[in-house]
Amino acid sequence: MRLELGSFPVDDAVLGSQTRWHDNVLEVSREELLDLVLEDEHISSASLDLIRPGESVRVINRQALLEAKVKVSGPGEIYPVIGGRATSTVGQGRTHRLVDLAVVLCVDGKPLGPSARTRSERSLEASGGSRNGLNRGGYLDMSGPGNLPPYDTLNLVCLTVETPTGEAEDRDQALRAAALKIADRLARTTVDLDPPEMEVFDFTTHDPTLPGIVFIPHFASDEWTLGPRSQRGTAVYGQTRLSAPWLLYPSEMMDGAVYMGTGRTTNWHLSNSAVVLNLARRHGHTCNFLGCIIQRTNWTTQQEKDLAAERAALLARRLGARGAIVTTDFRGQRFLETALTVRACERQEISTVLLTGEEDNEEGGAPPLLVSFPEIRSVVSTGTGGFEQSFPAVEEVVGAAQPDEHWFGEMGPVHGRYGVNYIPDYDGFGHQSCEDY
Amino acid sequence: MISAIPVIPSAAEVSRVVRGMRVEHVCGDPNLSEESDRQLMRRIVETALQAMQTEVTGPTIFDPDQSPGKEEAHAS
Repeated sequence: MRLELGSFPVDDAVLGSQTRWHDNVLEVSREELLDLVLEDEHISSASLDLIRPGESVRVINRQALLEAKVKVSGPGEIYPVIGGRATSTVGQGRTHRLVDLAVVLCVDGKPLGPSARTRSERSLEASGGSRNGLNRGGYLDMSGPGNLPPYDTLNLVCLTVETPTGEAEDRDQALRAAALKIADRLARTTVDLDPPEMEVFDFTTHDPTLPGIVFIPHFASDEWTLGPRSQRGTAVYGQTRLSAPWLLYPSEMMDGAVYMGTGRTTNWHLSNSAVVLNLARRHGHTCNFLGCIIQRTNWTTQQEKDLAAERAALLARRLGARGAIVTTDFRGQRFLETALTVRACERQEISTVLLTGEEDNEEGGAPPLLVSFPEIRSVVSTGTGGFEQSFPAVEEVVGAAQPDEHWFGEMGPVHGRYGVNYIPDYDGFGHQSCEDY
Repeated sequence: MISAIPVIPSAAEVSRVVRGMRVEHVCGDPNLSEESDRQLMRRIVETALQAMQTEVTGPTIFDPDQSPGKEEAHAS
């Protein structure tokens, strides 16, 4: 598996008469992109806005974040199988991507004009704090202390769509198609160009003197409520069902083989995974990156969870892994499955690091992890997702036709308890560190 | 507590945990016939009632398949 990854930096994104990338600037034709989205009869209105990091903007109604990436050679398409794409295995040939840019999908219940970007009309002091006094997050600040990684460096192309018609599966399909149309069209601006930056990853060669490492991310399956054939939720090559672990080449993940529906982490984080890219860059130098073991969670009996953990660990062992990095994507029983995988790997003599968020410690009264085992020896915490400062008032809100006035005002801290969070970090993008007392 | 995944309440040091069927149907099994499902539900609930009357020294898991006996288990 050999992948050439060509990167096109985006220092600025601007509205213009055509859609093209030149000299690190992405020019975007609003009319062209909105016409593409409105081709779908399920979508009656949509808006397109550009947001630079640092602008006093709050994004609400967010549902997805996508990287703009395209295969220029080699089999398959980015985000394989999704929305009717080819089933061919990805991860080979050449992929082009726009860097420092992402497509945001917002969904509003009301009819939209070409722009869903609103300035506050009233004085910012007049609008109160969060509704009900309790801030449950659900928005994104592009400036101030709430402008967390990766959004502090991402130019956002924000597509706001009026809630599509139809049943849940149809609506989800329409939303997915709309976001992908934008991501594809933007990525295709790079197809015939020479990438300013190029990396080559070759996973076919192994240096036998280097230790083998695997990455074992856990993704919840919604099969227990939606059935095995739903297209909603996280998918591996389009499969959302609860299955035995999938073994992927790292470059398959880079090409979007794991696709996140609306959910906790995002497509951007998956196809841009910090763990995958960092291990891939070390392949052949300090380690052999043996692969990504995609573990599905939401098995619903203790025995099934134990079995799934055992299979993932055995697979890692048979690949020759001496080390593993494990991540999760949700709390509760899914975290238990993640902890069981860590335990099973350690029992197979694989040194395992768990990279995870924590539960809030409730002023010292509660443990940071839901469950723990003595075998879990190394944990890297990405924090609780809570946010202890207030979010200052903002000048503009993006993502709704007529945002409620309270969105413009100061928002209180997010307490981080019981999974309430601002921007959870399941993938290790944050820059937090800690002091040892 | 009746739970399909006893590890979690045991870790929270719940004294008496009865092993249930599945997270989505803890006290029975809709894949069985109505009669078998009802018998299963009865067995699980009876185990729970039995557990409530049993002295325990720490978190203990009660298995309906092994009633009237019980299995000692600890969080670690």
